Amino acid sequence: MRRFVIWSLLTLVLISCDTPGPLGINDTVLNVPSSNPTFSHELIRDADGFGVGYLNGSVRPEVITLEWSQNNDDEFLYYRIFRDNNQLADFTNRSTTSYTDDNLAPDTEYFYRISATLIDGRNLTDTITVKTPLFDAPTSAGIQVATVNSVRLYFRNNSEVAHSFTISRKLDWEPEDEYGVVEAGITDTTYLDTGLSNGSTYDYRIFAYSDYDTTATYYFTPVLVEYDLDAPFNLEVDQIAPTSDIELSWTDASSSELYFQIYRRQGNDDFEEVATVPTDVSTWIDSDSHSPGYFFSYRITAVDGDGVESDYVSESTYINSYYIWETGFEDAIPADFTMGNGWGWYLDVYELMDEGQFIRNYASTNTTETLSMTLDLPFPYTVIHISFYHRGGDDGVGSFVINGDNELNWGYDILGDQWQEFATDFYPSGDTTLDMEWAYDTQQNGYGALDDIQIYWEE
Amino acid sequence: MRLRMIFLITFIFTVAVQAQPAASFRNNATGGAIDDNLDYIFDPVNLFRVEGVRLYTNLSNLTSTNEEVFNAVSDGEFLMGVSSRLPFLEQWWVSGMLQSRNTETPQWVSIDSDLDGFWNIDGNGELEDIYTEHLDTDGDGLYNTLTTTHQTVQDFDTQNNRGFLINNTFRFDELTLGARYNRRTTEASDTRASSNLGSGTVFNPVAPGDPSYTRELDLVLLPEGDTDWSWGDNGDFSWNNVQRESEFTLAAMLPFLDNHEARVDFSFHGEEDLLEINDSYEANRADFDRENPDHFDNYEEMDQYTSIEEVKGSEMRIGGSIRHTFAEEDDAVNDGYWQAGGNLGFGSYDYTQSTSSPFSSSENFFDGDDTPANDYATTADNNVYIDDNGTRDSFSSSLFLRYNRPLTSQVQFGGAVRLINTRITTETDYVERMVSITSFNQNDNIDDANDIVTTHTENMTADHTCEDFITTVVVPVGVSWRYGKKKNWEMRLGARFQQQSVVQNESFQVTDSDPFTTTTEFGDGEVTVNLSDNTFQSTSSQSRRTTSNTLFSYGLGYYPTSNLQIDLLGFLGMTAGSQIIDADFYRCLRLSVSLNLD
Repeated sequence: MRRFVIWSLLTLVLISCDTPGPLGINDTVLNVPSSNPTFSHELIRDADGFGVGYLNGSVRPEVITLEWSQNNDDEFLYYRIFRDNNQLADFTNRSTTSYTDDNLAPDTEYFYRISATLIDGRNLTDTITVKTPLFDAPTSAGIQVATVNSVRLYFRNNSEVAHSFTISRKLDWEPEDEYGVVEAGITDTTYLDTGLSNGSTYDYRIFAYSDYDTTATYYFTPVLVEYDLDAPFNLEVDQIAPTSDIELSWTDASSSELYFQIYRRQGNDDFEEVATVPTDVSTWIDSDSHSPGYFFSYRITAVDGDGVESDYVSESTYINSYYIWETGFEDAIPADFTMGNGWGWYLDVYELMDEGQFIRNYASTNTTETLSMTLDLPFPYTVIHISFYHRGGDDGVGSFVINGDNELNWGYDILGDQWQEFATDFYPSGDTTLDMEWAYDTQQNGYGALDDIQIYWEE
Repeated sequence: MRLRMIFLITFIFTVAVQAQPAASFRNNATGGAIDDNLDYIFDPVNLFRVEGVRLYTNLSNLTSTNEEVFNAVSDGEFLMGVSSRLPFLEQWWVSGMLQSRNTETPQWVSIDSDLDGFWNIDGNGELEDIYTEHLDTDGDGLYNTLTTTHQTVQDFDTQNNRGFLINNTFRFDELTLGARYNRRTTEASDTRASSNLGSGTVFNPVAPGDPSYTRELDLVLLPEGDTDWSWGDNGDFSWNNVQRESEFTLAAMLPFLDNHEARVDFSFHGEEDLLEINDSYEANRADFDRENPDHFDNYEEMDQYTSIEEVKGSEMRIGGSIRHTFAEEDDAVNDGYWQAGGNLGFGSYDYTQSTSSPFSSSENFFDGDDTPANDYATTADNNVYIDDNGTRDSFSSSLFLRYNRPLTSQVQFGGAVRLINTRITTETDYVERMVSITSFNQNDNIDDANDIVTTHTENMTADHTCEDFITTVVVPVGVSWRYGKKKNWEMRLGARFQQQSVVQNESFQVTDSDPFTTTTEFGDGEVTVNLSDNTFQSTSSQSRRTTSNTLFSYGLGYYPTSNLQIDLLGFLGMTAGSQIIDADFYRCLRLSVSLNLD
């Protein structure tokens, strides 16, 4: 019995000697909203832009209405909305899920952010960028006295959302409040106003409108009703050498034309219509390919709204030059090039001669890098103008060979490391092709560079 | 957690002394090593070992053993105890004790009659004062103002203690059964403020320790008798602490082998400890304008502090021991014996701590003219709540070994070893909430940005855990010897060694925190919300303390007749320099007188 008591006491003493450690503590993680307060993006824009918002009125020139999803967390405290990082408003009612922001500027991007905040301060946000529509007043695109008693108004819609126009009119001597609506709900950008008095001057004004807003009013230049349809004059026709483009310029001689009709012929072929240009335009460039060695003739007439043509004015020009081939290495190495068996050539911008890029071979050791090309020639027995820029980097020597004849030795060993221009007139005799090869013999990391290769024919 | 330490100390004490209601002077003088009849009287098994009819009165000095009979130092508690074998049921022994105390003590109070910052009258308990001033403020020989100040103040402490114990022992052949019921209630209260109250808008705010009071101050303009202003405030403060304990114990003892006894104890211990504070303060102010009878400016405020801290629950204890008596004496308390045993205790308590500090105020101002923009009404309602509610569990285990041996017919030796292990775990949910609502309303019947309601909130919740691990080793050793011609004097010496290791863990794990948030609602419907930074911290701390001490004690017993016992404890004076020839020496004697009516 005594032994039991003694051992029990000793056991209790040993247990008592065990010192418990401190209690553990953890980081406290606060609640965060269960979901973002997501803007209703689908009401604002789709893949094509903000047309959705413009159409349903969510995005207007000076007003944007935003909607977002409701937060249903028990600990919801408020929504806060920002525009361009400036706080706009707070909403402590969770069921308030829309906000209308006004006094905005048209044709401007705004960055909105909304947060749903819980009472512990944690929040989640969503963002959206909204562009208000362009909503300027219409402007004139020209006024044509269509007949002795009608005027055709041309105007531009300077709004992304306006779909209709209202035109008003008064005689020029009448006061401002005498403007009367000629027609509302115009959806085209031309309008023929009839029933006018020949010899009178009229003032027109116009505004555009959408389902929600109206633009400012534009006032046309007063128009005198006096029919006049004469042929243009001072027609000039010139080749933009060495391209085959042809530029035309003329002077308008009438006030009743709707547009100008342009005709063209090659040599003695018949004239054919090639273009029409609006009434307020007096130059035009014919960018079609024009064969060298031919005359090209042009006629221009003025045409009124009823299709009546004035007399014509005509002029001709002769095409005496054109590009056979050219590159400035702006974007890529042209596919016409064939590279030799060395390390090859690539585009670079280091020590660039002009804008864009140039081509250079790899700075290998004791290899010959070649770049060759074959072109068809349009006219045998005529001179071909060939030019390009070259430069040698560090070490090496290059060559340029045309149809087997060496035309140039270039590179660092001969001309140093500065860009040099080479130009030559090559006479190919009866050859119908032109074989060219640029080569660069690299020595101890040397490399050669080329840029602005131009090959053109000129009579 | 103020009750945490009170509970801890109470718990350790009750476990350490094995729930003994009172200890005899002989036991105290020998460090707890040697018992006297009193120590057996309240034991549900050993009661039958006490012969005769014993009577204990206030002369027994049992309430704290610190009463000084000749020095009028007492605990102020009525005490009456008795033990006896029932006259017609000789196998039934009964003992009982009744303790009671009921006091109300007035405290010093004073009144500053003219409110100049210095008190003018004072007294104890309760005062009332009305102070009147007729003043000639412009020196024209006519009174211009009449000021009346009416004040009351009161401050009392109350202390009520009640204790009741009844102990029964039955013997059926060799089987001894015991049942004991013990109940004790301690109440203390006062009427002083426990916190700062009031904004100071009307009168100076209340400071902790201020007594309950009322105050009214009126200024009347003479000779018309128009009231110029009327101010008043009052504070009603209450601090109340109630401790209730009850215990029911069943015990059985059965002899076996040769002079061996096996004993089992089972007890249920209920406890309730409540600390309640209810402080309230009200103030009002009304200003008038004799030139404009419609003008008014009324302000009133109310401030409260309420705190409740309560521990309520129970503990089940079961214990057992074996005693072997190897030397029987005439008086059983002098038997030679060894006794070994242990106890296990399982406690479960509800812990509640809740405080709130509501403050509200309102002001209505009307300038008396038709200018609504100048008229306004303001309100403020602020409250800070702190709740720290949860549960408290305790587990205790103890082992003890006692050895008493009469060395000679006059010399008694006693010694013991007690090991006590206690673990108390308190887990609470801590919640701190602050809500403040202020409003300003311009009385222009227009809801606009000038009408503002501002709400401040701040909340925090945390898991609050406290753990207390206490290991106590107590080794009392004592000796007594009788001397004198009739061997009716007894000298007692004792030493009580105690080593105690206390480890206290506390962790405060924040589970949620809402920052200081200000929501401002304007009359035009606009709402703004401002959030402050959300910062908080979780903490864990551990305190380890091991102490050991040895208390030496001594005493003197005198048995002039078989019916009378007089005991002295620590009788050589409590005051340094006190001589045996000094009257103070005798006045400070701690004396106990026990009667045997047989």
